[in-house]
Amino acid sequence: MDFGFTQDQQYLIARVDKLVQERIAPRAAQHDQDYEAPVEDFEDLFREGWLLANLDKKRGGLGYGLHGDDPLSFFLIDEHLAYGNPSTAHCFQVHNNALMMIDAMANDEQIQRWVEPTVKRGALIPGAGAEPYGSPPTMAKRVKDGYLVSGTKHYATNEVWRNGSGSVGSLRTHMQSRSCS
Amino acid sequence: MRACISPWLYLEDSFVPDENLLGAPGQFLGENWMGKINFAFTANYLGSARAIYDWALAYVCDRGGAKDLYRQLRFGELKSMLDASRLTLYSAVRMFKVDSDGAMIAAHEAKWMAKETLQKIMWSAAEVCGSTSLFQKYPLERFYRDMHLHMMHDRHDVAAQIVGASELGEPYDVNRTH
Repeated sequence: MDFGFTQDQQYLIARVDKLVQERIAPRAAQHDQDYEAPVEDFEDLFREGWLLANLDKKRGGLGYGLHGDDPLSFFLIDEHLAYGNPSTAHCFQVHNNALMMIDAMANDEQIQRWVEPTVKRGALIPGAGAEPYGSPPTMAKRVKDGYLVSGTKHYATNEVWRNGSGSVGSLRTHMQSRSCS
Repeated sequence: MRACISPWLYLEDSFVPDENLLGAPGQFLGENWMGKINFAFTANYLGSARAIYDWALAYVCDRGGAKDLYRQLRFGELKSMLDASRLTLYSAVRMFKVDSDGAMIAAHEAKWMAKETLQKIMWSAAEVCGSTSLFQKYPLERFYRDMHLHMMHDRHDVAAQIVGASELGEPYDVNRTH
């Protein structure tokens, strides 16, 4: 089947597949067995530059994602990561969807503050939802200089990566210290 | 998805300063960000579906089952569904820049199709390989656990309802699918 990929997309797919076959898929069973976040996978993804997939090129990103120059490439990376480890793919897409929202809605100061840790250290950005649909919503009450927020959010994917400085390195330290305690 | 560590957050009057507000009030739903997030879930379903399919195909060939007509039929069904689902997702993504409203509907077609395809592949792969393929020593077992959980959204069928509402000219909310 010809899916009409561009040459750049075919090259990207080949790079992702190589990483998945050589590194991500062989580690997946052990991460699953140990209930451990795939730290090494994200060290690899950081090194490849794919943690900035959905950031605008003008800001140093790859310009993928729905609002980017090449919308499809983000989804191709995600699909091909899932082939080796769906957990890694999910952490990856939550991070890059959050990055896409920040890119579209944040002001320059916020982008500097929130994206810089990813640029420098591979920090992952969390996301969260709530279920079931129609359950009591999370509420925000206006107060002086901000909001007071109350509620319960489920599936705060990547939140664990925010321990310490929120980087891949700090998660490794966190996981090691947890396993020693 | 044991490796995808996703804790619960309990927020009790947690203070969010103004400098940490992202966008304007209502912008998240107004710009259909919840609907946009669905595209990536679909990609994950399809990558996992391909992994299960490829593993089952290799397993059946390795076990000498390729000449069996029943297995040929099943793999023909699965391959057709998988390719069609992938094409629908790619088409929806490619539409986004020129027709974002149409792309959102196509994305919901893609998500519903991807889930149907993944469920079919999970069931049929175990049938053609035999239940021993679900033993822990094989990757199929992990993919089955992960994907059962990852597909489990009580609003999932709303994706199809949204497509139907669009077809019938009735109002719909693309933020309600996740």
